[in-house]
Amino acid sequence: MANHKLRKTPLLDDLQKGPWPSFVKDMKQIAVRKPMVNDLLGQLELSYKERVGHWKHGGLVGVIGYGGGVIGRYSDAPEQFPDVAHFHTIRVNQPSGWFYTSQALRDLCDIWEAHGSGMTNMHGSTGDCVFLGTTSEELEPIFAKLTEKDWDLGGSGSDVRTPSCCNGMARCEYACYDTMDVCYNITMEYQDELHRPAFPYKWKFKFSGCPNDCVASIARSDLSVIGTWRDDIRIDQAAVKAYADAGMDIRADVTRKCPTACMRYDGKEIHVNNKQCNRCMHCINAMPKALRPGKDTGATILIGGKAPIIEGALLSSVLVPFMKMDKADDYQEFKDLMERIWDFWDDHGVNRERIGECIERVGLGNFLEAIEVDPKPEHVKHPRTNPYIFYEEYFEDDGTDA
Amino acid sequence: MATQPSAPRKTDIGPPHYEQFLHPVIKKNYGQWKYHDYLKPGVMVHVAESGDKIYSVRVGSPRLISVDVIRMFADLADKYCDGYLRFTSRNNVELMTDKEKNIDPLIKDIQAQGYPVGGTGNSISNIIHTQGWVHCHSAATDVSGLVKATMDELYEYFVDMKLPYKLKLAAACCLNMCGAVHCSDIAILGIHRRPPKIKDEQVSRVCEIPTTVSSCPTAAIRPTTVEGKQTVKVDDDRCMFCANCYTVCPAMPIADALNDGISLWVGGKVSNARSEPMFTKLAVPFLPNNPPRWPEVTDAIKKIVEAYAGDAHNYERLGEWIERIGWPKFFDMTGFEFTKYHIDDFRHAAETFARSAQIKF
Amino acid sequence: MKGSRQAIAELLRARKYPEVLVTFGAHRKTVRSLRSLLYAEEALVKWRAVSMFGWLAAERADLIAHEVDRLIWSLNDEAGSIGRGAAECLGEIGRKNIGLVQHGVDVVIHYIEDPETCRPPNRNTEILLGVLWALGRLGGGKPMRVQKVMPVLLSFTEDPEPAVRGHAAWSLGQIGGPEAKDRLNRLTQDAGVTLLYENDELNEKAVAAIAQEALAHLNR
Repeated sequence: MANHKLRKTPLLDDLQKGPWPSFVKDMKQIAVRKPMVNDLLGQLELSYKERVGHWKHGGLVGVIGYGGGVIGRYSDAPEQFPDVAHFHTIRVNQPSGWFYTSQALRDLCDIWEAHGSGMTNMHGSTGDCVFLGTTSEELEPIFAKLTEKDWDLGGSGSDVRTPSCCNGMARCEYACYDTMDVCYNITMEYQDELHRPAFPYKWKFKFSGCPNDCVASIARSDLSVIGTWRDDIRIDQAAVKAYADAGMDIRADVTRKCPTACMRYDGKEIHVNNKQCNRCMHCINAMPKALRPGKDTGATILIGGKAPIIEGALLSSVLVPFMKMDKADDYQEFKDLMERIWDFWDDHGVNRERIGECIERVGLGNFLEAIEVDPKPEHVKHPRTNPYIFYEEYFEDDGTDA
Repeated sequence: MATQPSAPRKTDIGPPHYEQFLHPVIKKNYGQWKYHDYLKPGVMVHVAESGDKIYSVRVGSPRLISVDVIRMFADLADKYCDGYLRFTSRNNVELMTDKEKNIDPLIKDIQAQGYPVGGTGNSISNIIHTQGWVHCHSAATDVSGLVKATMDELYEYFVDMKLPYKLKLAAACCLNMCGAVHCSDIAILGIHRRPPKIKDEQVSRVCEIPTTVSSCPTAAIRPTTVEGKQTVKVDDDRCMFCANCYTVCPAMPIADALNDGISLWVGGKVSNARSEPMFTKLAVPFLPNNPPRWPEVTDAIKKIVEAYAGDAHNYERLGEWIERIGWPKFFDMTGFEFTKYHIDDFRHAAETFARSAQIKF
Repeated sequence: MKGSRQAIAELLRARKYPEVLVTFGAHRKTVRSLRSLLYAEEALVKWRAVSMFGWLAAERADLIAHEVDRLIWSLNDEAGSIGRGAAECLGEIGRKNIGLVQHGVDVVIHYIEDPETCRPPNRNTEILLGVLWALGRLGGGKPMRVQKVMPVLLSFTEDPEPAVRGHAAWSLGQIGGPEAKDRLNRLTQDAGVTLLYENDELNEKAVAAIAQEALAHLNR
């Protein structure tokens, strides 16, 4: 059993108290059999005491054939904490929607217990299942065991990152396209780009089934696909009546909160002017038994979301107001668009420039022209207010009298 | 280290197909769901067109979990859910069963293990967060600890559905914001307040100088020579301590135990419901980094939550509530000081100045 | 096209560099496939991709103008990309068209001093071998370019791993100089063996043979 002395962690121990599940309690239990976690606790305690981290900057490690999927990490105090001298992270590509069976999870746990610290993130911010902490020598054995059980690594660094999606049609009545299938399809289509860096910088796909955007794709992905519909909201007036009978104040909480004032409740029925509906989802969220998205469904494609570094945070902006996500066609329309976008970004993006910043730099109008997408009012909140227009067409004076 | 693999390796196989992980009721009714409802905090029912029902019990999790905890959830899935479960986009666990009678015993077992059931509907649904001192080289603070401390204080809001609407929290250990910190209702952000300490003798050996210079959002970095060595210098007046230079140049560390701290941001949302998605805005520029419990941070967050819970209308997200009552009232109600730091001074700053006479007194 | 990666690999095995552009088009997409082949498990394909980048540097520099920055970044990425083949590629590009790598040459050359990647206890031998080889390509005929790191390069002739000694020896044979000759002399009886890529071919070679050929070349 334990042949290593367990680290004393008075500051961390305080976090074992309280109602929320304690990661310290969990780590201390596994530390009894895992020296790596014991030293991790020791180093974390030192960080809590000194108020600085103790990890070195990066480190080039990986598995043969891949340019990513592993984040190198080395302790800056290896003499003090030898068992976290190497503490690399492995990203394991999660199944769509983070659905698992108990057996699948046990397979992953067994592999990780045998070759690493036993600590995980379920899941990392991008979406991968994260194996937190192993040594360089274990990378190939872990990879071999993962692929043997049909698991693969996720993206990291300047690769295309692992796509993620909401649970979509698996369990949600709002889903306007099959997010789970699209996510899997795109992940398989772009395996090469996911495992090997090819572009100026990282690229993130996130697929949400409706404008509630439960995977925050508009905030966190370069290419956001948000489900929507073109036709009329479906209304079950009997269910509307049931909500009213149960005491819901339909006017105050539903129709008057409509941002386009396109809804009316006459005391009996809800009426929607669908041509004015902007698919915000509020009324549907409030009355899920009575209101549903339409049936002519597809997705809005937006581009350019990212966190602040360097030029500031961006939300994705509209690129294609409506695209059918057609499974029968293998999502070819989407993939053709991706080709044109990536060719543009590869040609024009400077090193470490996200597509959102690239578009800001070259101009959205020029970007749309380059990828052969016609400009539409849906692309902007409103037309420009400044008059500095780079006119490209003009007449020449040919010298003759008119 | 071998440069040539010894046996044929499987690569580029992608994740396992999700279909094998779907509960039979989910698989049968895929794309055929009709509506959902909440039976009680942490318990959802989804009803299909066929009339079939699937119950989901949502469990709060610290995200940083050992294989022992995963196995515990796997065992629960076997006992009550035919072996099926999932994780959510906000790090919770969902155990799914088609048998209503399994719900209460499942909840009892979950709670006996020390895990909370909740996070649904008008609740605080966990705090998405980054690696912090547990694993990140650029962390200004530890987020696992911050999250534990904060969720301990806000626990009642996880296990119940008593808020005016959903409240989504996020925590990031540095400005890289690996998560949706820039778009959450309340966000906790680790920050630095002093410029990097440049190790001149290392810069030209480990850093690419043009990349380092161009990494600075405020053009504060210039190439220079020190004792014959190529290096860079930072104009302290232009440096706002974002640490992006450290990301590209290991010879410019910026972590500073004396001055690093926490900032709080409010009012973001990603959903399109009612109002458009919006960024978080600065509420508190600096709170001390006080592990293990960060009392100053958790107190401030509680103030925000209680002000919101006491005043917001139904279906009003925190940002929408603030838009309605106005920022002056928000600072009044929370007691936070409004300072020069709250006023934007980066690109597009001028767009944030109040250019109307619409003022409340 | 997904099949193109395999098809390009076939052309590289046959050393048909111009045909790659003719068949798949002279555009960035083809270059992206080449970049992907730097990660090929088959060592010969990876090395031929390196040579192809050199060929492009000479013949179609416009197609790889952006590549240099990305290759340099992949040697320094702290977020989990690893620059397999990057150092070799930069060395080869620099050999064929120094103007393309001008701002990055120092980074590549000084990479041999990188404490994490090139030194124990955490060194990545594969990357180290690539850097040693790149030094030979960049310093070959232009010894002044690599003067600053000569002491470090020389020290690798005493490395415990034969592949490292062999690549250091080959590099020194390209660069030359009295100290190089001195070290090479000491390796002429070295029993170690390594895979070495030279003149577009990948062969197993004895360290002793590398040292002897290097000396013969320098004494010409």
